[in-house]
Amino acid sequence: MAETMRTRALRVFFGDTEAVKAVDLEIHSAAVTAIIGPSGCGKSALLRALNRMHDGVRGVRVVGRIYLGDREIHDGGMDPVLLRTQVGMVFQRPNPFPAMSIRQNVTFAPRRHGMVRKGEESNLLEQVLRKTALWDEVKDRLHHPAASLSSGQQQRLCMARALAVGPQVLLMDEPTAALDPTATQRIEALIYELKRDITIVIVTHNMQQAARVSDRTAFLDDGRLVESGETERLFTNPAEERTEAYITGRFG
Amino acid sequence: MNLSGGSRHFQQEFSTLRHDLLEMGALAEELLRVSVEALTEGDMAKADSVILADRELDAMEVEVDAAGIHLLALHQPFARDLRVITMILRIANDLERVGDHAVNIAETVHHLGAAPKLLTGVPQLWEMARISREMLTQALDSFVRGDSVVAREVCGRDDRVDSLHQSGFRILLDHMATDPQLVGVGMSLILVGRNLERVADLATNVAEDVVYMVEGRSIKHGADRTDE
Repeated sequence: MAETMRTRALRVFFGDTEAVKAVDLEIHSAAVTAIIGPSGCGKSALLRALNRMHDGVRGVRVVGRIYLGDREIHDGGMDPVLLRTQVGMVFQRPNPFPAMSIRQNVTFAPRRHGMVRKGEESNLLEQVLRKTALWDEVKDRLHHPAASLSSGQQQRLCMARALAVGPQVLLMDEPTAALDPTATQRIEALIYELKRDITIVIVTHNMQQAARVSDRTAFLDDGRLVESGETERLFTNPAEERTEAYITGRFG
Repeated sequence: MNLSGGSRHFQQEFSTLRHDLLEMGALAEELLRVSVEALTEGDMAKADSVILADRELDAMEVEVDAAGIHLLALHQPFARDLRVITMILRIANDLERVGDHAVNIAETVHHLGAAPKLLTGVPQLWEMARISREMLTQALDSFVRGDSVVAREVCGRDDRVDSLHQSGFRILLDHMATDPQLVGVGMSLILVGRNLERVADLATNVAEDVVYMVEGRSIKHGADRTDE
């Protein structure tokens, strides 16, 4: 069973600006949690805190607690690089290593972390490329550069790359914002498949997408968590006026 | 982001849809009222006017359906907007069926000719007609005002209509058993009772849909009507 995550009184500061304000968020295991909210509401800042992407970024300060299962991710014993193998990230723009081959993109991290023996690489490669529905499209050109793929394929390659290290949680920051509807549909289908084994958190501006792919939705406004709960309930009968106003397009 | 609810375009179409549904409601109430009048007065012309106007109601339902589906498909509304539009689609269907029941009653006038004397012996039918019509009016008012309290009251009145239906049915059976010549008329009036009882059911459906529209919770099929 994939791990849960939860935040307690999580705050993210950019200089003096508090972008995330005392957020207590529950992220359920093996389910998709969508984070929605207007531009600048702090949803990406929140997402990036979940695998310590803010570490070392000048002017950014993260306060509060974040748990992966029972472990606080800022604990002294937690190596941020190892944390990111447990909590992977897929970004808005596909960012494969462009000069590396398709194969290297997938095998680079597991090899570097000593997670796979040389003889098992091909198995792992096929397994994650099948998981991301890329295998049939690329199996005859695994040595081609990643840049030769379409943007939709590149995004699936990025998901394959994140999956290759066996994460518990996959964070996705607007993963289809740069893709056409067909490629978007494939990514959404993948999310649906992957959630059986992995906890997924997706930040999206597209509310129809949040409604389609997620089991739970969290609505953030001005850095605060206004409401979170089951997606079906939140999109048909939100508890908070501000959520209602936002999802019906009456503000934001 | 979702722009549906905020766009003027959506608001205009949404408001037209609500307006069209209320026109349907007004026509359905009218058809019901006139069909019962036609029966009591044995008035064929009134009965014919119901049968004719029902076609108009059918056409309006098709228009409301198309406009509702258009809004859902193009604007993909959420929350209350979503609930209102989906409930409008259901209510339109219920109102169209109210029209069908009014037509059934109007057609009875043709079978019976002049108002049968037996009618005076079954006051339950008039009471049913009165309550069903009131329930329909009240349900539509609750839609306009978004008032789930009134809608729940409508649901509570359905039992009274059901019990009137049963007692009227028994009285008509007694008459038919005593005088076999009354079997034809009695059967027709039993069907009138059945149609009125169905109208009350449909008014209840409308009211239940209004509760869902306002509160976001279903009270259908005996689901908890007060809390969850």
